[in-house]
Amino acid sequence: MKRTLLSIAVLSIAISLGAQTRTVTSDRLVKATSEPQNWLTYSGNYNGQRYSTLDQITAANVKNLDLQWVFQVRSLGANDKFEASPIVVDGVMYTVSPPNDVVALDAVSGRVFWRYNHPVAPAARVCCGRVNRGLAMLGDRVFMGTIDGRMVALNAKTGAVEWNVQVDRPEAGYSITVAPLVVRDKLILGPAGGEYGIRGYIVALDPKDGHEIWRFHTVPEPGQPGGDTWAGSSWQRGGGPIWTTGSYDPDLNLMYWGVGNPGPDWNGDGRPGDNLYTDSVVALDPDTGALKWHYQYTPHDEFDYDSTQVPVLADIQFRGQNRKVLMQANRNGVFYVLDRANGQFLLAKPFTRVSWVDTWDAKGRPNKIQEPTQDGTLVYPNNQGATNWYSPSFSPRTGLFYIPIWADTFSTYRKTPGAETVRYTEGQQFTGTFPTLAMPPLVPAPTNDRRPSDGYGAITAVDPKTGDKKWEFKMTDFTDSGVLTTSSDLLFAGGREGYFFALDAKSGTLLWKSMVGGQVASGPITYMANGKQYVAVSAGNNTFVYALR
Amino acid sequence: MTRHLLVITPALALTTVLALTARVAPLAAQHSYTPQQLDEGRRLYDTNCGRCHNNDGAGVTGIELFKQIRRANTDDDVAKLIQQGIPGTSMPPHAFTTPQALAVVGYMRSMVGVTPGTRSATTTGRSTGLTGNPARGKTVYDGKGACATCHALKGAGGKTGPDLAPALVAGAFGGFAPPPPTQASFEVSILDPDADVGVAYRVFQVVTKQGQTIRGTLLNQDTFTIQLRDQAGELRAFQKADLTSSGFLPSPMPSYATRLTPQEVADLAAYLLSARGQR
Repeated sequence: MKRTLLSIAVLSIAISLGAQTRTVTSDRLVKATSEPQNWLTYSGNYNGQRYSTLDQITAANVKNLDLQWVFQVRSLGANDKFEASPIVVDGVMYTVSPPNDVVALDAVSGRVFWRYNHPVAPAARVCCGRVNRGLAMLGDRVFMGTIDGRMVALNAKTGAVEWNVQVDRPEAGYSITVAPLVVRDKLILGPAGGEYGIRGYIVALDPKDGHEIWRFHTVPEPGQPGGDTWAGSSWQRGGGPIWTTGSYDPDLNLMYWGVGNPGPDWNGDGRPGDNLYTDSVVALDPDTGALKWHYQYTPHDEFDYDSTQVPVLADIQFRGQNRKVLMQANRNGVFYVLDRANGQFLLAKPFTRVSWVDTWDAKGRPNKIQEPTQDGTLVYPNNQGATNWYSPSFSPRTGLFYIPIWADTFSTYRKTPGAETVRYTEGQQFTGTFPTLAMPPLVPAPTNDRRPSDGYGAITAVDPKTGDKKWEFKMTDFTDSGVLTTSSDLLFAGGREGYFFALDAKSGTLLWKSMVGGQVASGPITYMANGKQYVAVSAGNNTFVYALR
Repeated sequence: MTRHLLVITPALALTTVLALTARVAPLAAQHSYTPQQLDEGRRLYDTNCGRCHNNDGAGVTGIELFKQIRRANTDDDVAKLIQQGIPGTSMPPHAFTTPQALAVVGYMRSMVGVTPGTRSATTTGRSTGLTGNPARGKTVYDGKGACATCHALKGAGGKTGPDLAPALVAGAFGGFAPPPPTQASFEVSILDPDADVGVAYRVFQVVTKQGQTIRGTLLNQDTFTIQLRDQAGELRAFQKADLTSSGFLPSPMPSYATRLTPQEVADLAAYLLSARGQR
């Protein structure tokens, strides 16, 4: 009842004051594609396509792209990456840099309106650098998860803290790095910490005060559906973190979230069974958190193949039928197409060299053919994955799915058999033996002198109807960049080398490039202000914003 | 001290801590570590440190743990840093007991001078599957194989190829470090020398559209450009668009697959293994 009243109140404010109030409503979020001048959520809108209908920048004029402004963050630690996708609401850009520093900027000039720096508790533990992937907005509030396990609501006009709640215990490895998703006036998120023996969940908080509305455990306990896929008490430290933003279908009223790895990462002897819902996509009712269906990409994973990659929703012709599909390019090297209404398995096809699986049965269960051994098992793709949290893109115009990939990489996975060889201590990592990698997993090496046999990076275009590769733009180094496509058939992406570039989305031909001097480790976005289309990307320690000169 | 650490980068912070500890106690007595402690340290490093610091200790830009640790003389201070983390940086605190943190320090010390590998010798390439005889292998090494023309073994021999018996560091193998050489891994190197050429022995070549050929050590490259130090020692940069070809040259070492019998390959590998004192 209270929630209904709040919704009515928010709606009436929006109607009475109009867009100048910069009030974001759930209705605006549902209809985000009708206001392409804004970038209202992590992926731009609910379908996860990272596709924009802005078309001022074209293949013909993209060569005239010019740097408009740069935002420099205060400082980044050596292992910190600027992973956030900004949101842009009516001419104001909101973004967040490590560890948890929020800034509101004039999207035209880059000048700062306000800043908020969250004081991070010393107990914060993160596996892979202090990162935050972005903010969410509803009403006049901006929401940020913190690496010390908190959610903070800021006043969008002043940067003042409206509320600040502890979601979970940082000393036990719970951190929040995901950009939350606002769905039907709820703030949806989950904790990272799959390397610390957490028990993951997706939680809905009330944007009004941060109180919990519902919680879905990504690792079920005994007696719950899926609880029998864990042995003994292993579920208590089963992992299943949430650290990349999900997507939402308003017509089906279903949210889709990718779930991370089981714990311990590289030794599953203490958790015999499939270990649901790790390495799965789960379809949840946003009103209740009830599970509608799930699909597990990598049962009983021992290769750290988190499945947190953005689930991309589209309506496509598939084998002669118009289908509502969910597409995911998985860290395990395989591209998947599912029916998003019921989870029916439609297609699985590797998009790079994959050695852990050879076939799938009719229901989509993979036939796993490798596991870690005492002497070491060489597995493709490597531990960092054939892709990862880097946003893919789908263009309804070209019908192609674009994946930032690490091609032909391998790791040697070793384990000392036996559950007792991996001990749990709160606050310590709970993983098993780290696999070998030919390159630093988190940040680029200062120079690249690797051999071609160590693999390469690429932007790869896949036809979702067949899983076939249509083209590939190769890079000598890997890429942690997201991909943005536009209705003028442009594709924007970058890589560890420090180039940010535009490709022809139909052919993969290079049309424009800019050396930004730091790795692109974020998803590019586009927006319009004062009649001008901008493209923004964070790379190294900066956000770079381009428009036509 | 703590306040300074808040505003400097972790790389600088670690360097500072290591340098300061070195100055305070330049020749302080080291802790000594049992093989069990080193093993525990390796296990803890593998599970807690490796994702950021990588298997060669150099995963974080500006930090080379296995080199910098050599300059830090107070193990207790490094252990404390590991336990407490570096506030304001990506180095988090770790819930280690002091003996556990010291074991990690001990493990890092044991890694000084070790070049970790990424490939598993047990899972790549091919081997003969035969039992080798080290004494016969020495005959092959000195005679038919003429290995000493390019390689040194225990200080004697050529220098164009890698030393086949570098100094070993006790307790260094396992986990992140490369697996110890085996009969099979030596056989793979003899039969397929190109499979895994050491970084220092890789030769990179570019050919320009004008027909000029330049060889040297590849320093860096990206999708569009190449940076190398040529064989005259000069720094050279190239646009790939200006080249007709570029890439690593094959290993100058020939394959011995047709030069030696399988039994001779097995004998030679057994000799190399025995010369390293590794089984």
